Amino acid sequence: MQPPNTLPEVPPYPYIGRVIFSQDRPAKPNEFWCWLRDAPNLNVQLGSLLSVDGENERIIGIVVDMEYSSTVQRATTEFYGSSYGDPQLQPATRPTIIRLCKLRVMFRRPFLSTPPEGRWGVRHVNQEDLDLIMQHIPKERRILGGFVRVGVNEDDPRSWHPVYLHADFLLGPEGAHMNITGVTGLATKTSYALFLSYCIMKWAEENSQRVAIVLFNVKRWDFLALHRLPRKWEDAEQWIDSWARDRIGSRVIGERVKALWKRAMEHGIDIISSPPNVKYFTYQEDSDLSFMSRPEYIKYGILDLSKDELVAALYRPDEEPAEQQINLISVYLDFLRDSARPPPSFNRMINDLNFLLTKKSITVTKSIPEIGQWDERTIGAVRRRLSGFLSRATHIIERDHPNAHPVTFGSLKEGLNVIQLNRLDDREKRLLVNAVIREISKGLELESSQRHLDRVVIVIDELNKYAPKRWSPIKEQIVDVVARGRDLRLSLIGAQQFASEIDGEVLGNSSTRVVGRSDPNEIRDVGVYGYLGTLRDIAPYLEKGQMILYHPVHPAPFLIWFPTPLHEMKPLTS
Amino acid sequence: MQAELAEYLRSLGAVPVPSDVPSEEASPDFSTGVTPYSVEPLAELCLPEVTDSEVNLRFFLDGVQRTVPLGLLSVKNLSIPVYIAHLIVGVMERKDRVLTPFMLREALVFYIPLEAMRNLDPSIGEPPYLHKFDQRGNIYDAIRTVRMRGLSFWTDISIPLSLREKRGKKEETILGSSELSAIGAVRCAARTRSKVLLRVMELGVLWEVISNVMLGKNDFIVIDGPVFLPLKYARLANNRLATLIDFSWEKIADVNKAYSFYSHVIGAVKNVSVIPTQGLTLAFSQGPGITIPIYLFSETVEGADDEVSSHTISAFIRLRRELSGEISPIWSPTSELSRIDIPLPAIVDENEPWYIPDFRPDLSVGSHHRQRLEAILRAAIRDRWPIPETTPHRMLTEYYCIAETENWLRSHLLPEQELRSMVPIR
Repeated sequence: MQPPNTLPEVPPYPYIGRVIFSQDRPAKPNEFWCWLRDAPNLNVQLGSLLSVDGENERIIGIVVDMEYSSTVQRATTEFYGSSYGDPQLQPATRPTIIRLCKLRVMFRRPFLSTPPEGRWGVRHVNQEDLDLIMQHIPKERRILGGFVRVGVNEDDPRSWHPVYLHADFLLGPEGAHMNITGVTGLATKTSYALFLSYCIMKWAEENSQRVAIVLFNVKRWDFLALHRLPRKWEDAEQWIDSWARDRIGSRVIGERVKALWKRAMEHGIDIISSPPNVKYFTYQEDSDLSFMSRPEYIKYGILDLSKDELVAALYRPDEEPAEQQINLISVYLDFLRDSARPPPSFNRMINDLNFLLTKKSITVTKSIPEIGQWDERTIGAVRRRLSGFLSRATHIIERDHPNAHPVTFGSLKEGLNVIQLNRLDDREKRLLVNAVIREISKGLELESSQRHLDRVVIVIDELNKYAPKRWSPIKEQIVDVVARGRDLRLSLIGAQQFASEIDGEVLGNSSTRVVGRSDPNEIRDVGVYGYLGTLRDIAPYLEKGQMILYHPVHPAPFLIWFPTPLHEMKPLTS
Repeated sequence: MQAELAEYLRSLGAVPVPSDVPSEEASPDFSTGVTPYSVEPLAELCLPEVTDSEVNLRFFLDGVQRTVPLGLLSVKNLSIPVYIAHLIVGVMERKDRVLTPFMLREALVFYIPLEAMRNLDPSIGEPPYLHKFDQRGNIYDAIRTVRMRGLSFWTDISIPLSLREKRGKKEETILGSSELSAIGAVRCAARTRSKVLLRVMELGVLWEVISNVMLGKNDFIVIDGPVFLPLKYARLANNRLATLIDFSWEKIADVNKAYSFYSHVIGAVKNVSVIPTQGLTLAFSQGPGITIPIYLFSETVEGADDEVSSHTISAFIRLRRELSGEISPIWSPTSELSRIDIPLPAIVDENEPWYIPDFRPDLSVGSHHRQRLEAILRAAIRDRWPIPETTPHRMLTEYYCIAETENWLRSHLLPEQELRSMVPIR
């Protein structure tokens, strides 16, 4: 869509500053400094959006750096100047504070790659400015990604303006995948992923796309009880009020969440009137069953798994298994698939390996000629691995039969599909995640007439366990799927505490990056977080519900907010 | 031999100056305290260090200028410099502890020693299209009416603007054709002209504020420097101000107008050149309060860039005695002195004969004059914090609000290259 060439008329908003041209701060085409009025409460902070009005030109930029200073050069002058170090002194004159902020250009009309041409006025952005920023995303490709604050009153829905993501860059084919980073418990990574899931569902509904979102519930109840939503907005308000009062201890936060939900509902994210379809997949004897509605029970037999999935389950991510062991597993699994009698199973595999260990090679060759001759140390190692795995993987492994009840592409529904990982052994988690990803990618490779879904989005926390940075055989499948994801229409929304611990290819293929409150040492890694620029400085101080969002169609990251998921706020007594 | 000299000095109570004190030729405060004058203090006031006052130092007035050589003219084989000056005077207002710009007047003026040049070559004409500043005055009115920023004025620096002559010493001197060969004399004339024009503008801006702002009884305008100094140029500013002072006799001509003019103005002098020879040690008392010796000079006494005058209370004050010794380049006690110039109209009633030479205010304890004076000085003490970061000397003696006003004005000065490019000679 070609944006119109004429600019909307600039309304008479008051200017709060001007562009700077000085030798110490020269203006550049992509970023420049402004001074701001010497007044407190200007409502400008790192991440704020400001608009610059030129003659028939408009630049909209994000504040990426701020400096407050004065003409005072030395701290000693500050000390002396306060009545020789008297902190109680209130001088008759409040010393001038010179407020400077650096803007990185996000939008310019008409497009010019030059610095601003004059000491143009700087003001807060308005709705019209933000519409301009978003107008290069066609309406039918817009997926709500959060809100930027444009007003002073957080409890006023009009203070929040939508930030859109481009569907082609989030779900393919131009780009795909999102990576979310932040410290556990404070960064609200999974809450954001859920909010985004709602937004993707809304986009899918409006664009006749059949989308399944697969949410792996890695820990606690992050993605459980999603079906328990308030029946009407008044109930939601009560939930939010009691949540803010009893669990957060801040009425202000409650009012902000209400305003954000109201704004989201205005943009069609109305999970109260139109609750999403939610399907749960879990294992027998899951103690979280009460948080699910009519779950489907899953179990994997040995023939439900690929070699890579079994290898990923048998070995820890930090291990480098011997090549002979991998080969043995591979050869044995190939043999099993062609060997109907006795029926293949994990128990049979244990027996076969025991047999191999106790007999001479020649005998082994006779009884199982397809797998050749193996060193008994290799056989012993694989056997120990398998025994260890089976002794721990008690939830989702079918030991006696070749097949069980795996998650299949066909079993996924349009809407939210929650797959329970909580309380599973780490090996089971790895096995399940890899098996589901393989099944989905296989399903999406079918002709569109042969499948019931157009796209699948996978949401998974603790991605570092499945795609670690170091070399590991367990990540090969996920790396492959991520590389092909944008063509398959398979998007991965991965989250973890430290993006620096993620496989470089998986991270590199995540064209959209989101950062919540993060560890200061982690965020210093310019190689991983360089795209944030100086916004990295605020990452350790982000509030719950506040994220830095980088999306490739926007030239600079946004500081966004999103509402806390409603199901999390259900009163404990209800 | 040196040991004996040291012992001799110690016997005289010598104490060493800080080791990083600069040599005299590099001293930043060398021009302060250089003009001793014999006068007795009228009174001494001791005011608390932490104080408040009903007096509101509301406006702060200052002026800045930049005078740059534009080129050299060639007349009869003489190289004669011409200049362009950017002159700015402005006022900041303090409201709720915050300084905000209130008024700004500026002028771009072309300087040429025309008359002296014409003595060499009578065919040289006047600069075209520009308004001329000369002895006829109305300079401020002309500046006020120019709305566009651009070169609008010129002045002949070989002819003084001021006709005033005092004790055989003129403020400005006539530059004859024979003196044109001394380029230093021309440069000096240019610098002096900028000072004079700046004072004319300061007076004009002061008049404009007083005329247009409803000043409360306790509202004051603080000007940077001696309070009566700009008044010398009243005749040049505009016709209404021209009647304030009698130039032949150097006395107040229009008493009522002068009263209304000066009842809301004080001067803050940061470079104190004129030093009373009696009673000044009171200012260096180390008591719990700040002791301020008060003087009333019977005549105008001029120093370098300083002047004390009659009809004005001169209060010598160590604004920041706590910092004594902290700013080592300033080791001379008199360099720590500021002077507050308080015109008599600021403390007397309108019907009192403050304008007669023998008038003495009643500064006895409890008197109206003293109460008023104390209120003004308490406000001056209240304003000693914060301190501006300027030169070491000014950090001790200048008011923050004045320094901020200067910063604000200075930022409006056009860069030298930009000034030169206004008249592209090549």
